Amino acid sequence: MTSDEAIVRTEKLSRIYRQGTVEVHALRAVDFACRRGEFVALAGPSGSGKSTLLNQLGTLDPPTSGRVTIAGREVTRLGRAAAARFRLAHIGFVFQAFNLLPVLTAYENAEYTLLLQGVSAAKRRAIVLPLLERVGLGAMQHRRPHELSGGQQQRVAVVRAIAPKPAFVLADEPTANLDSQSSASLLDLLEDLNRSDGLTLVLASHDAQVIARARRVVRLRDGSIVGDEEQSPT
Amino acid sequence: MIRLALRNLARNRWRSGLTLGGVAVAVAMLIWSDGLMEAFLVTMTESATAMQLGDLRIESEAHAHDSSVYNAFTASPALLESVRRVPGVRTVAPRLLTFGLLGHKTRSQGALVLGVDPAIEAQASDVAKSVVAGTWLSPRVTAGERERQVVLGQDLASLLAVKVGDDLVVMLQAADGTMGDDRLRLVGIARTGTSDLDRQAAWMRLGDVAYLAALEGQAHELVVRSERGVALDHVATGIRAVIAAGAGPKLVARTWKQLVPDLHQMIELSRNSMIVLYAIVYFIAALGILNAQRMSALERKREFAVMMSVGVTPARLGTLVIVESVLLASMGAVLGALLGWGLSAYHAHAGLDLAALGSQGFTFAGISFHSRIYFVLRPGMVVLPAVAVLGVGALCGLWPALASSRIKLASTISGRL
Amino acid sequence: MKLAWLFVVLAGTFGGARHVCAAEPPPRLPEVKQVVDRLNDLYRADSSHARMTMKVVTERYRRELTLEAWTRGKDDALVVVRAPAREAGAATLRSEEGLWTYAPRADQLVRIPSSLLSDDWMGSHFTNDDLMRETDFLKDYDASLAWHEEGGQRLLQVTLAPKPKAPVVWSRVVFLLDPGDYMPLRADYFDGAKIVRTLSYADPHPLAGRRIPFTMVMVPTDKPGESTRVEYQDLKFGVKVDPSLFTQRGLRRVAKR
Repeated sequence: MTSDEAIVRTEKLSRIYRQGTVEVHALRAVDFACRRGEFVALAGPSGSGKSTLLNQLGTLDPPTSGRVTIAGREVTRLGRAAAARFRLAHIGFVFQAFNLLPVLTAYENAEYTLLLQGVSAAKRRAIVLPLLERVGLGAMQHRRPHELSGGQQQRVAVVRAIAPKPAFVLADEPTANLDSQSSASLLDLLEDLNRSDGLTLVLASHDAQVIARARRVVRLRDGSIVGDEEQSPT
Repeated sequence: MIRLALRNLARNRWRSGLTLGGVAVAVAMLIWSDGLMEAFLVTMTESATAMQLGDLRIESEAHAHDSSVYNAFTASPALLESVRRVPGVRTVAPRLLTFGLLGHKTRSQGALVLGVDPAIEAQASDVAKSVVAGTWLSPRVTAGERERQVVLGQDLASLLAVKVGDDLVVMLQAADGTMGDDRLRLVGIARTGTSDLDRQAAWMRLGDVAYLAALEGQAHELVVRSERGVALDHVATGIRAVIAAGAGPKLVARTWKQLVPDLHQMIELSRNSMIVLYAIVYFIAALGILNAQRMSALERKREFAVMMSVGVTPARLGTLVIVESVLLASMGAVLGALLGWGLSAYHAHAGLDLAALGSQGFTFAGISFHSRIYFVLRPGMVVLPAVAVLGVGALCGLWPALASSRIKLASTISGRL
Repeated sequence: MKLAWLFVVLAGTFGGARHVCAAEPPPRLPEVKQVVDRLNDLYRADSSHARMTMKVVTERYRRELTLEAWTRGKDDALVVVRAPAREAGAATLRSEEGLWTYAPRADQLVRIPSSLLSDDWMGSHFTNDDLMRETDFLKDYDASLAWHEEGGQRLLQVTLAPKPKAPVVWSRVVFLLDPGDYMPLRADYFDGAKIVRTLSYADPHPLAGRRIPFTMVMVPTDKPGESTRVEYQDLKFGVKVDPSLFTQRGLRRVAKR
């Protein structure tokens, strides 16, 4: 696979929700592709379909029609268990909030995906500790989530997402619950991971600060892509 | 996973604690009531076997059908000895049984006259120990003894208005059709706890009854007591082989379970009714665990969704939920087992005063119970409920586990819907 | 003391036997009350003294007792065993105070409790109840009469059905009487529809102007080959009997003889 090839691609992807008797067209035949190493922001107002698209990319939600291909494999027909195993192997997630398991320490949360992959304790340690140091949480590894700030929690979530070296990381409004300083610092981290480590990142956000950091911005409105532009980082 | 499950349980200490406590109380209650029930059943079995039936009874086939005085058989020393030598046999006691008329002054009562060997009977049954006034029959005729000795059941003694030292008249029909009569001296009064014996029984020396009933060298039954812990059916097989080899009338050997099938069935029934109680208690415990786990799973719906998003398979998540509920149940089971065992052990040692049921004990199914009852405790009685509640725990985790593994990820995480 | 009673009592009534030809049309039945009164009168005798033998045959033993009996008035009766030697002196007493048995070795009277009334008397096929019973046919039974033909003879059949609350163990007792003097020939005792035992009367002797059967045989239906046969050697009515005989002291006096 070359870096030019799309690591994730959607074809005529539609998602229709039923709310009572009303059908909501969250996505309307969306064609989207993301190449290795890209930093893509899905932008648009609330209800535009950006979160829905993100969930589709993450195999969290089955589409109504169309297909999703990740790393050359069609994932739209995967069962729940197969999808979970696929996500574990290929996709990192950072959610808006409450990402972490409250009963685990920062370190345990960070190593959780590696643990699920069956990586040995020593190897996990070798991978996770430097990452925690890198995000500035080396000293807080034994704290429980409730003893960490929102920004710190999100950074632990980032470590958990990137530790198994996924094909790409999906982040849904990762800064929505953070103050502007924490947001900036988290974005710095993500930007750095994208630049230095070649991490493929897809974010959904309506926060201009976040969108400004992305190198490619895909705009959605009413379930359709209405703009797709490359931009230089500010 | 277990560490994670334990930490999850520790999150809501109140809920986990209450559920655990509920399970513990249920298990403890089961153990305790089982101990009480067993105490009743063992008391019943023992008062049936220890006082009268023995573990096994040998008699002529005719006597088994019709307990008439005529259906005696020759109880030769050789026969007694060969039965005694059967492995597992502790004691073999010959008895003569006949109905007679006892009179004292103007009172008279029909009585079951039991001819026994005083020394052997003292080993074969608890009758000698149950003498509450006077003494048991002396094994040998004492010097200066003018009247034959008799020990009466206490109710029979009070019906006749006799006290130890009084003289009685006995009349009984002998096997040759004649009437035998003699004067007796009351040497002891027995309280056996078995109402039939207390109301009817008159124990006399085997030789005296044999003389009066013209049954020298004969017995109506041989009562066999087995060694403790020996399988009774096994002993019975051995005995049957021995008596089948002997000459004379056909003899049969029946265990107490065959002799009093009603009692045996009642005991089985009581044990079965315990199973119903078990089922009810488990059901209640199950509801508790189920409720706790369901609540806990509902609260953690979003957390579960995140876990599955980052790669936890539904099966693994379900297992976690089941492990949590098994852990909860097992902690409750251990606690309950300790609690129940402790309480039962205390009541086994010190006894439980059932004075509320009747100040001087009570009678049930012809067997009188003392007001203080001593619990019976066996390892199985503690282990079984504890183990069973683990199974219940696992079962109760199943539904929340299934529900959790079917959470809709996208909508749950985003909080929509 | 049925023996004593029965004998004495049976004796109370009868004249001569009259054989009836079966070919004749049946005559009119007598009055029920008349017949039953006669049966009741069997048990009325001022006093009596009798000697008799009792032969008991059972599956297991065969024995013969020699008995001596006295009755006086309505309540008092005494039977003493004279032989065999082993049982000589044993006695059964009926007085106003109930039924008693005398234990000669212990020299003591023992009351026979009501629970033992259906037990056999001295190993015979008669029960204590047979001895004890103060039968009042009119009081305890509803009686009915019928003709019964047997062996070419026409007999009077008295069926006694217990009244609802009568203290009677039999479901029915059927007497066959000589139609001439109402002397009983046989009594069948029923349990349900089944005859459990049969008492036969034979060997009538004239006494006090009546016919008295001197032999009675009780046969239990369910034990083939068993029977108890009572035969009078001597029977006297109206003899002088000392009332003190029916006490422990008086009894002891005659029993020890």
